[in-house]
Amino acid sequence: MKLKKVTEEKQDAHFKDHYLKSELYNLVKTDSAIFDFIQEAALDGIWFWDLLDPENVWMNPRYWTLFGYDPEKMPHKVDSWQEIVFKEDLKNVYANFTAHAEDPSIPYDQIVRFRHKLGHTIWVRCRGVMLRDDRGKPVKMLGAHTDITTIKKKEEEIKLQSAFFEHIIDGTGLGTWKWNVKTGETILNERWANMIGYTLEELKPISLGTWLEHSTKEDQDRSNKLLKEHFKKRTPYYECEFKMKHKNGEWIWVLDRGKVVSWDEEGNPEWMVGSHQEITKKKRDFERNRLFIQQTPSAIAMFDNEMKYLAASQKWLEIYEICYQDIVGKFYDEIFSTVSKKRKENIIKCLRGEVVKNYEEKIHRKKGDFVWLSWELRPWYSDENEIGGIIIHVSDITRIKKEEELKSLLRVAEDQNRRLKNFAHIVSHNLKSHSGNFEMLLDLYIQENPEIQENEIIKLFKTASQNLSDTIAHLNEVVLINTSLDKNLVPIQLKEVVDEVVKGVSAIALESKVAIHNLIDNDLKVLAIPAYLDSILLNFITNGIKYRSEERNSHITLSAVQTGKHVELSIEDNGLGIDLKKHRSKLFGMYKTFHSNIKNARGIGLFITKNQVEAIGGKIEVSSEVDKGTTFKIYMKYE
Amino acid sequence: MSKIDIACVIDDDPIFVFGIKKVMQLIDFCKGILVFKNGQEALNNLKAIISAKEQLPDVILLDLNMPVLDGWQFLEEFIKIPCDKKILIYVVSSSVDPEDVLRAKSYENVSDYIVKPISVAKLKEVLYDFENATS
Repeated sequence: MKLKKVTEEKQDAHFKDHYLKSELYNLVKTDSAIFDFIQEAALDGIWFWDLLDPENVWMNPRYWTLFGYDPEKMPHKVDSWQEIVFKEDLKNVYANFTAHAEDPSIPYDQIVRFRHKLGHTIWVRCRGVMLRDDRGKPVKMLGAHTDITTIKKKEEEIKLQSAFFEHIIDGTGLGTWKWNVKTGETILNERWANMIGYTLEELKPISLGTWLEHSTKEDQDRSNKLLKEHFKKRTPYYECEFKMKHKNGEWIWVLDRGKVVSWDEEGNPEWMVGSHQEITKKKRDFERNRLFIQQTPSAIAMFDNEMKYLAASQKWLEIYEICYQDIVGKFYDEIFSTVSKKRKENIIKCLRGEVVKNYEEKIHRKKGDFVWLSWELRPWYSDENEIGGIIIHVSDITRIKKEEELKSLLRVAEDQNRRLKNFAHIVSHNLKSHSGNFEMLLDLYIQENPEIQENEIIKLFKTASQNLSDTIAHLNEVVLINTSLDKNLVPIQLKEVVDEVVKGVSAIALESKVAIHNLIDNDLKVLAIPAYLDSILLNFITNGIKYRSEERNSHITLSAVQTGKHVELSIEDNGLGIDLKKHRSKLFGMYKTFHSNIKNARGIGLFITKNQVEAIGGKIEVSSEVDKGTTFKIYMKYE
Repeated sequence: MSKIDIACVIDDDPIFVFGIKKVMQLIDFCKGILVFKNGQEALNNLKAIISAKEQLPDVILLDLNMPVLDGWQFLEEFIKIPCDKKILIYVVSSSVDPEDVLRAKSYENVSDYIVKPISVAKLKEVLYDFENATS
């Protein structure tokens, strides 16, 4: 009988000349011990089947021991193996058998599962070859088993594991990538493509370019830097956030993470694996938070858990006098050179979850002024309910503080005012009656003793008494000026009042040769207290007369214009003038006189006038040139 | 023309009282002077005079600032007393507070407000007023 296989013929030819092969083949033919060794050592079972009498099949002992059976007890019958083979696999066996029988070039080679006597599965690679007669009809079949259970189990395990990972990756929605750093070969999963709106098929052919085409140049540069760090083993893994262009034209945000998993002999990276996670929402949320914080009208800053700035409001930047560029990516203590120990402790407390408040803190600023701040440290939480960092909220309470100060000042002022009123009362009733008594007694004394009238001491006594009474009268006048509320003001025709006052002083004016011109419009009205307005006008006009220049024709001109909310009354003279450089600050002071040669200058008029003008809600401006004249401008409210 | 019979001075300040008496003598202001140290004393005595139907003063010079019953309180009480005789009342005070002046003038019984110190001229005016009022 001739054993022959098509494929082996070629090999035969190839090794024909080798003497060891010929010797081994001869040995097999002559010495059955050699054949026994081969079949026991190299194979996990051999069978030889009589196709002409298919009930009979011979199996070697190893055939049965593989499946846990005693070879002695097993019959050399077809049924015996058919019973322990998996039914599902049997169909395949028959199909392969038929195919091989019909066409010898189709190899009979398959994996078949057998049930071990103890119940577990034995995986067997079963190969066979049919022996044919001269006419090519199969007459016998020789088969060999190889136990591949261990390999199969590993395979199963790997399959299971990759299914497990796939499942996990599916669940997390991660896009995955494998990249051969040396060859550039790139493998992506479906999700990677879906993330940017494509199917994997649409993106083919896949290469590193697939990523490059969907990302920005600056992100690529940034990513490259980080990759290099990782390739140099300076970072345990690579991590980078970047934008990717979605099929719909929008940009999505991706967190890319990866790690080199194999290195060549020279330590260069070979395979790298990684994942894409979409973080668009997180980025957008964060961006929204950042915008929100930036535009908040109060002073807020957000920090991560290393106290690196994430965002800060405009107000925050204003209060601390920093600009946005200063804080980007900077740490809290990089901006504030002096962070107190207490503050550091508070930050640590807050990062542990505590809310820390402080009510008042004074901050000195560059300009030299200061602001009062109250602040609050509050932890913020990330999705995972972990403290992501701190939000610091600062309120500028300077205004409140100032108001408090103002209130206390107001209280002081009220006290002062009350005391002033008491003082006015004392002046009016007590001081005045005493000085009055003096005056009266002195008068009586002189009347009873007319001869002492020329006595120098009595004369001086009388002057002193008169001066005391005058002073007290002025004092009284001053303290009685009440700052009036608007409701006390009545509309007054300015021209008329001026005319009246001018009439009152006409005799002195005539005597002093001072011309008085009233150029005020007829219908101009001001809001004032009549008595005050009289007093104000009288004072300015008599001043103008009193301080006239003897070297020229004197005049006083009154005119008025309406400006904005006020009536501006100008009283202009061409008199002696005042050296404002010297006297401006004390011009309206009490008992200030500026012209030593003028008698009756008591230095009280302008002081009272100023108070009266202010009492009716007005103000006075003055311009003057020595020996040229003076112009007073009085601003009053008008109806 | 009739002379003032009795003038009444209500004031707690002895110097003022001394002074006004002198001035009154100087100008022969009146025949008799009644002096009370405060409003209460004046009120009591004047009431007694009325009930005894004795002669009431023709002119009262009333200070405002006094202990016990001040000038205002005296006025309030005095105007309530029914009295046939027309008495000229002058408020004589050192106060120049316009409020005081206005308040004094709001009483129709008050003839005028005289600011201290009193002088011959001022009292002469009072005298002149009295002569006009009674002529």
